[in-house]
Amino acid sequence: MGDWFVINILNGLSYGMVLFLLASGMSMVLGAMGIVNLAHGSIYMVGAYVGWTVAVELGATFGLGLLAGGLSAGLLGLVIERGLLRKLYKRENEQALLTIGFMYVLGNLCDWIWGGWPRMAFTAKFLKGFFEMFGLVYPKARLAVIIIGLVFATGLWWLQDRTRMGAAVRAGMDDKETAMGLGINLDRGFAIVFFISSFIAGLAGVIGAQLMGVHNNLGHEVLLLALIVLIVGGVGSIQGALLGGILIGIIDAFGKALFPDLAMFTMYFAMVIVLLIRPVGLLGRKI
Amino acid sequence: MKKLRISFLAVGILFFLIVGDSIVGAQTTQTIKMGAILDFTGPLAHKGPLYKNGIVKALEEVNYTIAGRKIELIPEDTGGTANSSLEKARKLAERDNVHIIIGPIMGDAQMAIAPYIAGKKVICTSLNCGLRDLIKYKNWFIYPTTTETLTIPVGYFAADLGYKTMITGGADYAGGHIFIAAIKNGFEEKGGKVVQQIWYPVGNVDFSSYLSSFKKADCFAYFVEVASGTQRLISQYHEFGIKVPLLGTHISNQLVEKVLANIGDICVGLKGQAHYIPTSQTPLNQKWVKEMINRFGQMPGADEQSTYAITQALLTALKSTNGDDSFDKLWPALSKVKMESPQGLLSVSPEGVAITDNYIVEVKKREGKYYLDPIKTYRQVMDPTLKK
Repeated sequence: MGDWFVINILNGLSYGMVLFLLASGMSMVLGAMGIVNLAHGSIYMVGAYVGWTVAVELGATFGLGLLAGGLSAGLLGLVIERGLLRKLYKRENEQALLTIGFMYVLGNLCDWIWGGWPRMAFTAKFLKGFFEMFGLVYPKARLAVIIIGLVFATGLWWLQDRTRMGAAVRAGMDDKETAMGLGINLDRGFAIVFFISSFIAGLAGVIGAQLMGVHNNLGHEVLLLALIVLIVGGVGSIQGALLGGILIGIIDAFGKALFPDLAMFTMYFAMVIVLLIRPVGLLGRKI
Repeated sequence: MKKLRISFLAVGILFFLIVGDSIVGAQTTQTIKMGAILDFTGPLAHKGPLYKNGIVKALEEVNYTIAGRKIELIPEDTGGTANSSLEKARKLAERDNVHIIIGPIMGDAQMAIAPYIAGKKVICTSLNCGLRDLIKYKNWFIYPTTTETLTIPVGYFAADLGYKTMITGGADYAGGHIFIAAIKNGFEEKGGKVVQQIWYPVGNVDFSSYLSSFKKADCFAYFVEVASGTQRLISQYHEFGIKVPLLGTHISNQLVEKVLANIGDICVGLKGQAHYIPTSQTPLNQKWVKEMINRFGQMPGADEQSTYAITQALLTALKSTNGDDSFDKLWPALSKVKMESPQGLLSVSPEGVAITDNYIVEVKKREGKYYLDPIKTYRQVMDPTLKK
């Protein structure tokens, strides 16, 4: 019983960390810029595909795959923001339509470039196999996902709360006009935020590929999960995305283990309860 | 001048409204129009081109002609949804006047179009199995057999291996439940006992929690609705070091050469149900495989074979009706078809259900390539509810 409990906690945490990484970028963009980027899942997928290409097809290291996935996704996000989205601030309907359009365009591009066949989960050579401790056996790759997630959570929190840039972005979230009046270049700040958000999505794609593999419907699959985490954790804070990710991950893990027939609904139950009790999310802020 | 142009335009439009239909109608009496509803976009986008290749190969062999009539293939994309499948079925039946539609793939799409297409007297075909419920419409060619029959051999095989207990895992939708029920029925018919049934949501991403809740059993028989999910299950099964033997379904459809190469050595030894074996040594299969590689540049699999055999069966029926593709002539002719296909002997029951061989295979590796090795053949499998 003890083993079963620990394994499911770890399952929940590893899955939850992927959800956190995925949702944190979306939360940053929504919080700072008021943009619901529905192409976020597809950007995650592009990162995963690029990471696979570098780490598996070209035989480079997993670390390089991670970097390539993040950079490609970051640049893609920058192109989308600088090219089109910046013209649609405060126009939510148009933003939604544009990013949904990108969802389909990116999905079909990935189909065209990589074909329809799914790619197997992949990881670094030293992360293959299990870790054994006190009779408990657990995959190394999943433990690595938990650690990477915590490192990123710390880094993003530091960026948000302890840097000038983070302060500028938070100022922009609270009062754009005053922030601009004080000489803060929000336009450049927003571009950087969007780049970082997409970069993290790409990284999340490669990290998540250790669990989920890569396939052409990944963008649609993960977008819904990201939205659930955003709603539960709250928008505009890294802590909210982390709490939301971990909570949903653990609810999903125990839901599947205890009530497998209801596994399709457990995440949504959690979302509904949070919406009823605290509509802005557990650690969210009003936008 | 502008008034004259508008008048000419109006006359032209009127002309085509009155006469156009009969011109098109005149063409259709010469050309047999064959529709195909396949997935070229969406989660099964990788399958659409493969199914189409099988149809094209069969039609090219007869130079797109049967009994002196030209055949026109009209492929349509379902986009992976039942709604879209119905729209395309309407378009094919009403605008293109087809009498034959190959596809769609998914059971929900088949059920969505079934009532409509029955009313239009169009022969429809399944691609990798069809629900028993479709039989009542009396216009479905169900290949290679019904959903309720396809995976029974997995249950039989598990019992033949001496397993006494089984855990089943299936995707939680109608098709998943039917496939797993067939395995359970087959296993329990031979004295086995299913001790646990696990249902995961369609599109499930993480199987780890299900795997950690396994009870004690001799084997685990699974069905996952898409190849990406099967890959995840196999990968996570291996990741968690589970030693309970795995028995799969739809192996020839999902674990094709590309996918096996992607999964790697952890799939070696995996056993399960397959309805086609690409490496089969029959002369017909070897010839067909060689021709498919020359034509399309890649090793064919179960998907190409399915539509090739289906199209061959339709062409055989059309030949016997002397090219008459009307429903009242073609449907009875189809049920008399008996022919060899790359997969094996194919015949059709009066209800339109194909009778074919079914296999249990094992994944093996030789000279760096993965392949499916047949270890047991179930000859001429027929849906048990049909009269022999």
